[in-house]
Amino acid sequence: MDYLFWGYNVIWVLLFGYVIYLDFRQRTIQAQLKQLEMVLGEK
Amino acid sequence: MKLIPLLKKILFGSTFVSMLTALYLVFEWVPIERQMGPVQKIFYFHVPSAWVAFLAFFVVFVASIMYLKTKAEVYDIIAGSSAQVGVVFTAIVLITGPIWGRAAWGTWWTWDPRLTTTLILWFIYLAYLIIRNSAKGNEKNYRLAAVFGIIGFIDVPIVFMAARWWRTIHPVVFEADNIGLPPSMLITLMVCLLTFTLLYFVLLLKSMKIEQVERKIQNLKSEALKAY
Repeated sequence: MDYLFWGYNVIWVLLFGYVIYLDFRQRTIQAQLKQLEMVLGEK
Repeated sequence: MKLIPLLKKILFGSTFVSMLTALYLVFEWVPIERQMGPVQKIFYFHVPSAWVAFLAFFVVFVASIMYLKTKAEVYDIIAGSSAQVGVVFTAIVLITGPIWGRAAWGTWWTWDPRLTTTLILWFIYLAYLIIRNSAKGNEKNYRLAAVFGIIGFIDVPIVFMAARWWRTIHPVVFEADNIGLPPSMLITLMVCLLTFTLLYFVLLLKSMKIEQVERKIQNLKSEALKAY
């Protein structure tokens, strides 16, 4: 088993996975906020 | 251009450049260690991850004290976001360590003081995040989480000193009188430490932004419920 290969993959998957998760979460809640502000503004 | 967006752009840009430099140094420039072989290169990610985790939990510690003192929401947001990043980097430490350990010690895990205290540290801040996420706008629970964040920090110096206080198989990289690394390895390690520190600030800012928007949504919803 190539430990180095697995080690690096784990690091990058975790790091980039976390960055992608944060980006996705930020986009989702910002869209949610925009929608909420629009609905409340209409009322 | 406003100062804060400009600073953010500089931070993001320098993180990217520093990351590319670190990758070049680790994979191309630094020589392969004679005894361990290529697997030793995990060290350049394992040690900086541990450093960032310590830094993140120190920020939790300071921000939690400031939150209890001033009750300003921003400190709670900083503490919560920093704890999240710290838990991710501790997870990287806990995963990369055994991968290296398997090659060096012939075992994935051993209940060594350094390894055990690190695992405890991860559980402490995982519990902190669970307490904080269950707060849902309840200030009392945020205060409880802050107290937990302060007490939990006690484990950080224990983790750092574990390899010095007790008999352990975990290597000590930085000793008071001797760093124990040739210059090329030291330079690479320093660049990796800088890269991971910059990455910490990028992730912290992103997490904080998310938390701020989440709170804004929560406030708008409760205001709307009160109004109708």
